[in-house]
Amino acid sequence: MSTQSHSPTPSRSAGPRGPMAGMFGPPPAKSKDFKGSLKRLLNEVGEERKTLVLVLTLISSSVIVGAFGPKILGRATNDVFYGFLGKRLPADLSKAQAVAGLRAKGQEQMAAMLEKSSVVPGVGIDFSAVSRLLMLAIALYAISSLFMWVQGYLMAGVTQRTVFRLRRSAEEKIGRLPLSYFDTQSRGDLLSRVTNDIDNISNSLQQGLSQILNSLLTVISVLAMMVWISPVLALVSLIAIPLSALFSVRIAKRSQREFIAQWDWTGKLNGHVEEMHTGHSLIKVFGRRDRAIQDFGTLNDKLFESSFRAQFISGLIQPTTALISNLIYVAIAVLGGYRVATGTMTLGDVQAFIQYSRQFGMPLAQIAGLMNTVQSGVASAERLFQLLDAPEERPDSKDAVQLGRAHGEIVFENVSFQYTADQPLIEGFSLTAKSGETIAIVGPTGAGKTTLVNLIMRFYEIDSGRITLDGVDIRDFTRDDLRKQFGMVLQDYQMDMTLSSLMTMQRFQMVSDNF
Amino acid sequence: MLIAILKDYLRPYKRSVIFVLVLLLVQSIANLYLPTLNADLINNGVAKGNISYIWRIGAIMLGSSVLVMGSSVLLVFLSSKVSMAFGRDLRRSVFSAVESFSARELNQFGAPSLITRNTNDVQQVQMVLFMGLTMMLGAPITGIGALILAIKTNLKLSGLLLVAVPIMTILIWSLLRRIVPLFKVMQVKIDRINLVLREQISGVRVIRAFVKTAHEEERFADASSQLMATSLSVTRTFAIMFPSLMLILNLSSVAVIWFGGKLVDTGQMPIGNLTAFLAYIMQILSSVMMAVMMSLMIPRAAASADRIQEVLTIPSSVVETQSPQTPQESLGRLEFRDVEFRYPGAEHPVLAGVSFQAEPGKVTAIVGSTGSGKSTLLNLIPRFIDVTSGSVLIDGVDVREQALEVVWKQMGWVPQRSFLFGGTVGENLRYGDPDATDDDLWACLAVAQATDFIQELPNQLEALVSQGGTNFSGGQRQRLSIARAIVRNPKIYILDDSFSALDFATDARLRAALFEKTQAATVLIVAQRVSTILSADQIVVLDQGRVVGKGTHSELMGTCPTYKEIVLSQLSPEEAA
Repeated sequence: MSTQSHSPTPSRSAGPRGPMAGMFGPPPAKSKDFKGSLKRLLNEVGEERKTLVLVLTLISSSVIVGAFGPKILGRATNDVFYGFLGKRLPADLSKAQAVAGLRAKGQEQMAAMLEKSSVVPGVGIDFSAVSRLLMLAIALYAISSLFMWVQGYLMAGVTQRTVFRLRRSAEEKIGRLPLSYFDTQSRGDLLSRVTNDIDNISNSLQQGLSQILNSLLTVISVLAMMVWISPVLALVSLIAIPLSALFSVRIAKRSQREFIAQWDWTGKLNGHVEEMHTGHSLIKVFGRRDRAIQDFGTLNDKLFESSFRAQFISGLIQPTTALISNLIYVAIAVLGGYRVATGTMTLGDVQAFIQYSRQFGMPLAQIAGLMNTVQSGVASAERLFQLLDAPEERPDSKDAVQLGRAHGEIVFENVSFQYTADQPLIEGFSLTAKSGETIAIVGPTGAGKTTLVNLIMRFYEIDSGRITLDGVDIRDFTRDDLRKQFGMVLQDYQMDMTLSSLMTMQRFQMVSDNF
Repeated sequence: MLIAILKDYLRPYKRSVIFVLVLLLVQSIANLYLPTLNADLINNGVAKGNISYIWRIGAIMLGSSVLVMGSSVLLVFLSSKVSMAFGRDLRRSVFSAVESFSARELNQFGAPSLITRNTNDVQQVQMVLFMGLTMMLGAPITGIGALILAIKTNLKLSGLLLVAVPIMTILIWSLLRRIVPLFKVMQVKIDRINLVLREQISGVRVIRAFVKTAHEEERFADASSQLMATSLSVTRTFAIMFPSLMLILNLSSVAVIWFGGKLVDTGQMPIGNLTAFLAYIMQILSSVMMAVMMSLMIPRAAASADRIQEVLTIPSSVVETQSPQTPQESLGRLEFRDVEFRYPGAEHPVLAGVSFQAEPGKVTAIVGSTGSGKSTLLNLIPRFIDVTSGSVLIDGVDVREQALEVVWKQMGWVPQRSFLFGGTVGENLRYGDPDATDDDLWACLAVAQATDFIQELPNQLEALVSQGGTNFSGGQRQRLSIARAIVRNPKIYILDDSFSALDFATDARLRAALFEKTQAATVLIVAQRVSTILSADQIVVLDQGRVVGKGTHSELMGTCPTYKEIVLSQLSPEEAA
């Protein structure tokens, strides 16, 4: 056994670091392979293909049906408006006469508007026609909302089942990871991947998928309705898309950077807090309290600055898109008003158009906002996939030797092992422990006493040589069979490593005794 | 609690908050002005065919849009500044509060919970504040403004609101009443997943050694499917919310056109007001919607505020005296005088009637079985906890009458769990004395028998130490933590079972070098290993919190059966003699 003095302790994870220690690794910031991870995540969701297709159909129908609403309301407004005008005209006049009369008075624009309308002089609002239109609108809105609800209901199932599956595979994965994985990864981080990251994925899926689709379809169908009503005004509104997109994307990119900084400083602050709380009494007794508070203050200020910038910059998206949509609104009102006045457009159409243009701005802003959610979700998915892809323990050999009750002779043959590359801990170690023999292993701190037990239990795999139990290489048994042989009482592994290595020495005797 | 915290911590930003409110008002008025202008445009421009009027109103509309944009940007700027500064101040207070905690309060909360409170919980409150400043407060202002305008536009038609608003409120309210408790259940289920998983990860060796992986998977699957069931109910309930709200909004506009049309027909309302009214009613209903939806965030933030307030208000059980006394001489003489310590409400004291003195230049060892109160006794000296009766004195003055910093300055503390801080070896050692030179550090490392392995490190004193010191073995950590205490050059050394991870030879060498170095200091040692304390000048034997023997090794072997028992459990009679 080599007496390498600087060796990592085998049960590193059992040190005095708090359970939260690793939670502050790099947070899901920017993903390395956005497309790849997104695709893989969508594949996971894709297992529910049939339901998804139904969801998609429902969303599309709901959006399309809903899009007709304002148009129909606009028609109803027209009817009201014409009735209003008609009532003010004397009933004995024909529409042509009324137009001519207006022209004679020099009210050319009024005349033009009247000429294009379906006003019948002397006839007021046709409420039966209005009510038919309104009933239609109610029906459309009701159907749209109903579809939306069913869609949301189904999507909740898809999301939650997907997340459940992800959680299960993550947990099963943990059961197959080699122990060395737990030594190098912080516990808090691992835990965070299975809980926080999966939670985040769940949120992104639930909100992201159906809402992005919804918003996108809304933009398209609203745009279609706008073109139908008035291609000229639609063109004006169309300017809003690239304009909003351009600003939103620019701002989002900039704020993403600040958000990363914010999570980075949050992580650093968390790390400091965790360390200072864990070493609470030491900090006091070594008179470092002021220094700790001071260091905290520095990190806290950095966090403040970055989170302020992140909030402010990302907060700019809303006023910017709002300004654009307000500008469009004004343009439509002015242009529309002008066109109604000149008789090229009806009032109801302008009103419908205005309503559409309001609906138009919202999904655009929503898509911009959702991009953040999706990015964060994909980043989390990536962290989860990293865990799922981590190399596993070598699977038990299929034709494993059946192990009943072992006779109990353990032989180490020229065993070499190292926890960390280039830091050999055990080199060319040989030992025979016969059944009924007591063997005490002594050695200075860090010499590898605990390691021997870890190797017999196959918590770690040896690098060379072999260990046999009753003459059979322990790698030829299944791990479960092998471990069942050692009714080993692994006492509180939370306790300080140093104590446990002492105990291990005694335990090793115990183990050998049992054989 | 939420209100109290907001009130206290927003005080320095009062002006900005008032300014934010003014901006919100400006914004709401400008936003409400747009539909009015639109109505004006239709009534006086379109209906009368007045094109120059249309252009004029258009320009005003443009101006107010720009005003809205300007005030929004300023609003976001101020609100993010105020709310993030609020978060920063709150975090600072929480951290400072925890730093003045005694060990008892720290254990009461537990370090992980304190971390969550300082980061996560503060974040919750901070976000609600931000949302509140930017949106929540704006919603009622716009809502009320729109209501006034709607009533002004047409009183009769406004009656529609008496139907729509209650329906909407009742709907949201009843959904929230279902969802909020579900949220709490969900939090519990998530906690459960966390618990099972944490046990699995930290107990991975035990689980594998006992071949319990399948059992654990079952436990997890159970917790996981329970969480899924609750999340499903939550998200499904939520799925009703948005479509039904949209339905109410849309039905309201249908109603406006129907009833508004009647009013227009009978000449009770100008036609242009119909469009304006539609805009108002949309604004009112979305304000109601926003206000109620936002109120969903409040219960969660309120829970967080409670958790923060707990940390801020719990009185420290160790309070520093206002009028500290300074001992006449500073030698490091330590005395326990009839000391009792019991946890609040506990039946039996942990320590009772403990009296002994530890003199400068002498080594005092404390022995006793596990749970005999050894560590508790040590914790009383730097006032990590305070005695419940009796007193601990340094140089004749009760530690509770002295300034804490003065007490701590004299102390070289080596804890049972050797904890190193993230940084370099040198930085860790300089915890003892920030001004120590490298030579000083090497000298102390030599005493602590740590020269060898530090010299082997590529960067020696600059070598990096991971948080907690996990990149060093247990014995190395112990030696570094002893070196750290030596660097302090203290009057009193307190070594809490600090040689346990060392092999016997290193232990002996270290003790010899250390006692050489500490000739003038008071040394207090707790040890499990009898060989460590055989040569102590005084040995205090503790049993169930009481002193059952005091004296040197040879005296105690004759007079104290508890001591004899402990010694003979580890040494042969020949060695013990």
